[in-house]
Amino acid sequence: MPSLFVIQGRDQGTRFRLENANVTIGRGSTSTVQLHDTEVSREHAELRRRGDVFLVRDLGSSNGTFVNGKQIKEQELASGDQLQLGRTLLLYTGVPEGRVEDLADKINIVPHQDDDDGSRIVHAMHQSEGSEILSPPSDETTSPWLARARSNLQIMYRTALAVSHTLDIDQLLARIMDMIFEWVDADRGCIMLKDLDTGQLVPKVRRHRRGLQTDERITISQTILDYVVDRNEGVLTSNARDDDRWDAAKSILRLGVREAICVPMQGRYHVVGAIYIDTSLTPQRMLQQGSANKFTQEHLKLMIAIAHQAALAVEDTSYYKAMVQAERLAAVGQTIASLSHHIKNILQGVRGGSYLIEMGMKDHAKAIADGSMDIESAEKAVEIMRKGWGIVEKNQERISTLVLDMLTFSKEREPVPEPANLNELTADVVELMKTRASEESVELVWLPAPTMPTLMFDSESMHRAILNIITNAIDACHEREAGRVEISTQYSHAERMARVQVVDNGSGIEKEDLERIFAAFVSRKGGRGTGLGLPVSQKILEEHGGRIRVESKFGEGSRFTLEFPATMPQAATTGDVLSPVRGSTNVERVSADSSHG
Amino acid sequence: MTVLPRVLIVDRCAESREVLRTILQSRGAETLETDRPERACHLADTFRPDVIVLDADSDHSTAFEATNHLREAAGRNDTPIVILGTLRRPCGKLPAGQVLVKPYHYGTLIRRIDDLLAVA
Repeated sequence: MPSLFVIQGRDQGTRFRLENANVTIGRGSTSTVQLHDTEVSREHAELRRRGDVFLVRDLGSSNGTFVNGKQIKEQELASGDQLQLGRTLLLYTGVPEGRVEDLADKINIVPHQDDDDGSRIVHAMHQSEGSEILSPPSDETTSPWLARARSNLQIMYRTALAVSHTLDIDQLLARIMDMIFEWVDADRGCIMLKDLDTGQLVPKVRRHRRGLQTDERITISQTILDYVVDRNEGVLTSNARDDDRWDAAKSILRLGVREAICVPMQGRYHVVGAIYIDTSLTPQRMLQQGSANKFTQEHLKLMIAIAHQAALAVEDTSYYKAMVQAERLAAVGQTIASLSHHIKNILQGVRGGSYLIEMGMKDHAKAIADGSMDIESAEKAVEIMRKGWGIVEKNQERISTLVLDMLTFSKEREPVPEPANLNELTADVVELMKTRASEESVELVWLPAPTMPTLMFDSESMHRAILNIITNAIDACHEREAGRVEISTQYSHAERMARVQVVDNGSGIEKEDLERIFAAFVSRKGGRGTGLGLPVSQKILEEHGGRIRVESKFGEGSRFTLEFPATMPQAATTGDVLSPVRGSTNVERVSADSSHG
Repeated sequence: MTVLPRVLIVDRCAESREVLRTILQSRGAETLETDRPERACHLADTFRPDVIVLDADSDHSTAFEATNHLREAAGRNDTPIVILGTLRRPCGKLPAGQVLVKPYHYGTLIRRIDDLLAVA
């Protein structure tokens, strides 16, 4: 769906989906896209859908509407266009153009033996040698111009590489400054970025040549900065008397010459900042080199090119950060909504249970007070209180499960392996789930592996993982007349793998949902599910170097296999400790009926 | 013979149905219940309850449609309805006080049902 994504401004990170054919943008509360920006008019612009494209039209706004930096009255938008209203910059994403061509039919990748064109490798070169195209040739006769051009190209190549590796703007700017000092013989330098709210240049990083006094303030003329930013031109300045563009300062004979280069950081559509470097030439140095200049036009050109590259990187990093922020906000919102929903249901349950307890106590007190208490009314009051207490306890268990799942999910933790038996552990979980299965009229079938060695795993977390999967299986049978959950364990000596398999004949999972079942807070159980059970189980299995496999047929049921590498306790590596199966037979059935007995 | 007031409870949560059933029965009401709004329309038309208590807190679209159908059925039979939860989508105008937002207090719900039964 077409959308507008705020990449700069107070609403940064907000995505507006363009669902309607007509969309109004403005500061007013009636606008479809409401922007909290005082420089945006109440009814600033509108978007009108024409077929697959949107037309943007300015509605006589005070500050104008800009597309890719150009003021417009009306313009068709293309995917990737940037829309500027006031201080807010929005990125337009349209519908994908046409069908994506399947290139698999057009390009054949064939096995070597089928390669009938007789091609052979003539030269091979390591990837790292690619950059050597910019290295000076061994031929000493190359012209100085070509050598300089080659050197500059190498600088640009390295700049492009350097700025493409960071997503932290401060780190990016520091890296750019370091590179400039590597290539340009400057004394001091700084990078300033435009503040999004005030439009003013704010210093972000400062560097000085090694060995230079560090506490000296860099003084930059506002006139020069305005010139650079407004005209989008880089300047080379000098305080020598022969440069009459800027105020000539102190005597060249007394203090020497200070030269500076200030260049705009021109992004795709706007100037995002400026880079300043300067250097001082002492009278002695000038006499030595026979010139009052250190910076040349070549330096200026190079700085402009570097600044452009840096500006593009700054823009990309800003957009990426905005995207990440948006994703983060969306995830936080989803998490809070999901948790609130679940806690709300638990609270509702607690209120219901408490109400019943209170009701039972009141009935009991009233019967005593008016002398009508008999065994029947006493039993009735106690029965109501017992029912209420059962509901409170169940919800207390739900909140406890929720908290433990949240802790397991949120923390990076190493499992604490200890010698344990998977058969015994799974039997414990099955035992624990008997009541729940019974309440849901689900038959629970427990099929332990005939032999199961003692293995090293974190039994506490594995208990949790198995419990979550069995709980889900029972819940999946909620609407089945004859719900059945079969739990089995397996140990493969050859594969050195241990497995717990949980098979249910419940509702099954739709194909399109299968990919999302391990995503946090995605629950298909409505109010009963937190959406944390499966992600937590998966995390636990992954911590053990294992995984969870899922096979499911919608309407027929699911099979969840928890498997992890079987690690023997040190003492048992030479001979596996095989535990007998709990119970007299290998097959233990725990049915809904048996749980009553 | 006294005719017992009849309340239809429509709630996916068995626990909530149990609480409401216990409270209403102890107050002398007859309860009918179902966990699905889809089934509730039939019950509403057949048993003509005096009040319907409907849990509408579901994201499921079919449940939402069924909820609307149940509301229409209640309207046809002139049966008052109390809706529990949050209505996420517009579904026409509802009389004031007809919706109880979760988590609600059972005391408030019981008073609302009592008021509607007194009028019915």
